[in-house]
Amino acid sequence: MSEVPPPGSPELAELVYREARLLDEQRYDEWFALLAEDARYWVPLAATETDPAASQSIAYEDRLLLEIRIRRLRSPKAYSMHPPPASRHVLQAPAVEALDHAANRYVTQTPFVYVEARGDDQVTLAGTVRHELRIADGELRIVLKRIDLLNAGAALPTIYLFL
Amino acid sequence: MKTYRSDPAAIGRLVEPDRVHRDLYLSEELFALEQERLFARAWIFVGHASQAPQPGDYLTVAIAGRPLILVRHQDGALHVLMNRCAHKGTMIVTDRAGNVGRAFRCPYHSWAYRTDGTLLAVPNPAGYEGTGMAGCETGRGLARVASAARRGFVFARLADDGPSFEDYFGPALAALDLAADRSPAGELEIAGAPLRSVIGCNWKVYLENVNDALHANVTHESAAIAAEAAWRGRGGGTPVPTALEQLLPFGSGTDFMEKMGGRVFANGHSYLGTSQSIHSGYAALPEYDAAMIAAYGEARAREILAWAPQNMILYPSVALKASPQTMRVIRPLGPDRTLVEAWAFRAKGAPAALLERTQLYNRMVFSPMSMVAHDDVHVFEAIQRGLNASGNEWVSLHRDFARAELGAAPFDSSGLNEVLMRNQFRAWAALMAAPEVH
Repeated sequence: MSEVPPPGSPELAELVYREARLLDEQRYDEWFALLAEDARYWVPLAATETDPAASQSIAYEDRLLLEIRIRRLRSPKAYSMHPPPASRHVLQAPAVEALDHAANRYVTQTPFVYVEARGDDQVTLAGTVRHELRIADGELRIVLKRIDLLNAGAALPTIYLFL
Repeated sequence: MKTYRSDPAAIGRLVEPDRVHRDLYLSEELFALEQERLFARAWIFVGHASQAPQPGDYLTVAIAGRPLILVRHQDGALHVLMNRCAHKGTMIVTDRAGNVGRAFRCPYHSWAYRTDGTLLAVPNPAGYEGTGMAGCETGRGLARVASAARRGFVFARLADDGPSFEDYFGPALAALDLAADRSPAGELEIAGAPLRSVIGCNWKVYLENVNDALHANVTHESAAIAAEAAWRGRGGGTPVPTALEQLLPFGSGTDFMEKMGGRVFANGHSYLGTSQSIHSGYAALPEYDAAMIAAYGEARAREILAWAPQNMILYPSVALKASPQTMRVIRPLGPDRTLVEAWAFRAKGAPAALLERTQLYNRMVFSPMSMVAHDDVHVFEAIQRGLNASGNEWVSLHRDFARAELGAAPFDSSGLNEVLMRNQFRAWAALMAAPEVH
């Protein structure tokens, strides 16, 4: 058994901030290492959705698809990376929704603004990100990252990087 | 200054047998004329009957800039109405969909309309006695637009005059049957909201790409290689996960694409992938096959399941796949802005796995976050900007051009023959002709 003390709210918040920073700095290997084996990255079409199989989603990806996404972003043949897009996640302080050591279940909810710039264009999106976390091998891991965009159902411009 | 409106022959000169002029993609004036002519004369997809199953159910949509309502009337009929109060012009409903009950009621002065568009009531009607209101356009209520449906797919023609629904689509109307027959019950229904993307290109750039098999292993090389590498890194082997079954064929070679086969029809419609496509190799779903055989018999079921074209285009608004059950609807917003909606269908009587395939495909290939579409969008937007270059004002459509194709429809071709695009532009020129002077 791991001897690390159970995480408190500051540790959960730290993970959320770190995760966003790794994406913005395009440190994808370190980001990928935060994912639990059964992790899902979900961008539903509506905040009311509870089941990704029930309707379409903007994204719903497991580790395999996320790995493909990362490999593609690094490919010299990824034409959409020219000019290269850059992102900034601006996060509000995460609210802890669940801190359940017995069940090894930790949940945070974090309002955010996401800005993506590419060439002379810039796109601004806003929403709430929900992290469902668990401790595995002594580390907090992401089981579900769910991103609810305020305008998920709207006609959206291309989102080149990771929300 | 000479304009395309004042010089109708000039529009015809933009479409040569084997190339088209860049003004088709760049000109504000031509875009306005498209809205007025092409998108009014052609039959444009409005919605699917399954989106409005109950009386009073409606959805709203804009076609050629006109706000429209598709609504189910009390008697069960579907009507397409202008979303414009006959009084002052207020849009009568502004939600994307809902149920209006027995009547629409304007939020401005409470004018009310039945769900067939006819005027039901006005406030203080005495004020209209002896006026011309009842006898003019206003008295007719919400203007009704010509509409027609096949297998639940509802189309509208905004212009009063024009070809009938059957004449306009001709044999290409079978595309809707070929898609709907994929359901053991013979019926498709819309499964939830569409993925909606705005792309910074002319709608014709998008629509010709739907028929462009040659770009796949070039533009999508990054996605195909990444998918292959990730699978190899996991040891490869079989069975291949559905996601990879869908992604890997994007890397198929030119030879495969050539042998896909194509067929063009009069008025711009087409099938790409008449003999094979990147959708042909999907693993069988035994439960689904059994349901299909039970419904259609072995021979017919096999025939339906074997039909998996790349895309079936009902020009100019629909790109439909039989497998997976997905449809893109192309809605021009401006000369350099296009809205693309990707809808998923549930095939009635089929197992849930079939819808999951469709949802997965749409997410991976047509979402604003799609790792496949990103490179397409990059190219489309680069075309939109590149066409401003001087020295060559023409877009080449020369590949496999042959005089024999002129006026021949249906016409069968290889999967790489640019007749699949030339055919769209020939329809464009015909639909853009100046109105006849009576």
